[in-house]
Amino acid sequence: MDFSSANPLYLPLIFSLLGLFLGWLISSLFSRRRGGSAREKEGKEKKAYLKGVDYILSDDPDQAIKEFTKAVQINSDTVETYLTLGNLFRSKGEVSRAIRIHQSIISRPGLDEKTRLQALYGLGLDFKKAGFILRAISAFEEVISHDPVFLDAYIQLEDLFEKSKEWEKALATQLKINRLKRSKDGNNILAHLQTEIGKEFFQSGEYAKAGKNYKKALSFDEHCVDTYLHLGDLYFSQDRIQRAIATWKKAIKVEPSLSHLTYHRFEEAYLRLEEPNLLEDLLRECISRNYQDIQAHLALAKHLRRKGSVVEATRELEAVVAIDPHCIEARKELGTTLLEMGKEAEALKEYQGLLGTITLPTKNFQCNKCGYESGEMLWKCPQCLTWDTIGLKNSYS
Amino acid sequence: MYFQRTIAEPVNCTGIGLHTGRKVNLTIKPAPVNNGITFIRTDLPKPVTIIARVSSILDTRYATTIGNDGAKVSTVEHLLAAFYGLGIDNARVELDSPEVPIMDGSAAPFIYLIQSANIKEQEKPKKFMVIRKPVRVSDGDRKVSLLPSREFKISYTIDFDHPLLRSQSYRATLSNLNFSREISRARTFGFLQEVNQLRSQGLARGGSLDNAIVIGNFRILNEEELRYPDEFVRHKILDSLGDLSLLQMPVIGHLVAHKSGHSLNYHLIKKLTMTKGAWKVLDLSHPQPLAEKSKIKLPAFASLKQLPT
Repeated sequence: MDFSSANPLYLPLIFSLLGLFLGWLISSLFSRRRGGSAREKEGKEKKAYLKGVDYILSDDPDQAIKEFTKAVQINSDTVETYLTLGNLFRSKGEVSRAIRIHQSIISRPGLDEKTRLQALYGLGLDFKKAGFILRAISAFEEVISHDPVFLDAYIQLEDLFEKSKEWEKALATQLKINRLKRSKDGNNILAHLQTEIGKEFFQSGEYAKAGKNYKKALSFDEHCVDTYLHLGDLYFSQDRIQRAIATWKKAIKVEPSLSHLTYHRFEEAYLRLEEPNLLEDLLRECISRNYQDIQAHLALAKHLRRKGSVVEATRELEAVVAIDPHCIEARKELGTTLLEMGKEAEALKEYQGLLGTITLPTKNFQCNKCGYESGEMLWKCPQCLTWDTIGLKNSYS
Repeated sequence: MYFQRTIAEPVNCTGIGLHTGRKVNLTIKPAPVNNGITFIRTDLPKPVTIIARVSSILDTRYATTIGNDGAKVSTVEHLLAAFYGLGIDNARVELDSPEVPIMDGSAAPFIYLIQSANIKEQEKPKKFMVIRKPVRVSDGDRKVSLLPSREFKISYTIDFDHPLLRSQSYRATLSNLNFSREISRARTFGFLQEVNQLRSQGLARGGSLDNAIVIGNFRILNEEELRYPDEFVRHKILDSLGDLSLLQMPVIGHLVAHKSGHSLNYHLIKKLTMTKGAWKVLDLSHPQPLAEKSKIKLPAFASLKQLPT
């Protein structure tokens, strides 16, 4: 059996099936006294079951469904096989069948609590897969009401609350997940969820509550850029410009690679304060910290052009082109600025430079089965191993 | 005898709207004979009823949107296809949003929902629209037509310029077709670039790999495998059945489509309704010489019993 070739989606299923099979084998060894027909029946069931496992390993759920269906037809008491069947139906989008199978398991008399909860959890997954949000929530909540440490049910619930934008509930559930895991790994998620709550208050004009939530978010994760940006926006909307600037600066400090998210905000704030020079200072500071920051150069060029320092602006744009010759935004801006300055010869030179950067793709051939690209004509695709599927890419043919 | 159908009891569900990304509460209620399928927007100050018919169509970009009196409901086609496939003629669909929830991107969840409400036959016979003359519409190399036929047949071809999705064809007769098994599970699909473009327009906020097949440059982004090898063309058939249902009665004819979509489907059904002599109503309430003469084979809708597990 080659697990490496199996679809990773089926791995949990495969391991639970193998565990189940071992148990089955042991119980068979102790049941030698049974009659011939019972043994024959068991043999057939086992054969169908093993074939089903084999089909799962070879990524053929349709055939696996057939074999497991055979197994439950021979012995309808095997709940585990039913559970497997239900999960397979779900994976193929046959939600009606998956739901009915899980419902029938749940209603079986004398079923042990653990199996019943597994079936209920499976039912929740069926509903979730089909898009029945409330039914899925209700199934997972019922699982948790019987087993308050059923971690997977909390994880599914949190995802559902996120999907339906019920941020308060998502937050409460994520807190429980953190507690169960005894870990703070999910604190960044908590900060984002708390920030989403803040954003909703901000949108409805409840600024005090918005601010409270943003600050709470930072108590979960003081590196959450999303929170700093929106807390700054809140201050800005309340005309607390200096405070907004200070908050956005914190965003740059915690994550310099995301500095570009603040530049248009700083621009608006410093213009409001009628302190454009401070904007220039800030952008130059960002560039001095990281000369490769194209967005800072672009923002500075825009600012310099606005204040009439066209030559300096051109210098910034040239710096961008030197860093990344493919930055179309900078090249467009540079060409336009040169033309406005009446420097037509330089604009033409810039255009020629642009033409030089347009590199033609070297991979002209493509497999029409899997999309593999190649620089040379190959008769057998090295990715999908199919003969005669490679030809010229559409743009060349 | 084919009788009109509705559901026996109200049934509801909550899903996510494809474009708003918000929760949508949807309730399907039984409706009297000859009511047709109606949508009621309950979230508006005064509830507005929108009849699912050709003249209600407002927009066919990305999905089919119908409306009335300033109110609209979009992405109606998967639910309408589920009604069509199960032979439901009459139902009231109440919802508190301008869009039907996307569920898993197919009609399978709606099939489950409708079947769990139990399908009920009503006292009046069903009507069918029999195609008498060919009706065709085209737009460049895209074309769709409805041709006279003894039974409801579909021949559909899609053809994309993408290494992972070129040409797929599907031919089916609704008399033999098990809609729930063969068509209803096919999910909606889109190319990654289109999805990104929709998002940049503030649309598809509820769209995800949970409710659509997304085709990237070199691979399908969904982890799980396709539900059918030709799921894409089957989904186009699903969409077309939803669009055809806006004719308000099942069609007896041959739908032949090549690279069609909601917009072309709309032009087809609009042209059909406006073409004199192109169709005739087959009313089973009294003997119809037409039916006997031409030996029409009526579609096999799902049985009233639930599908066996």
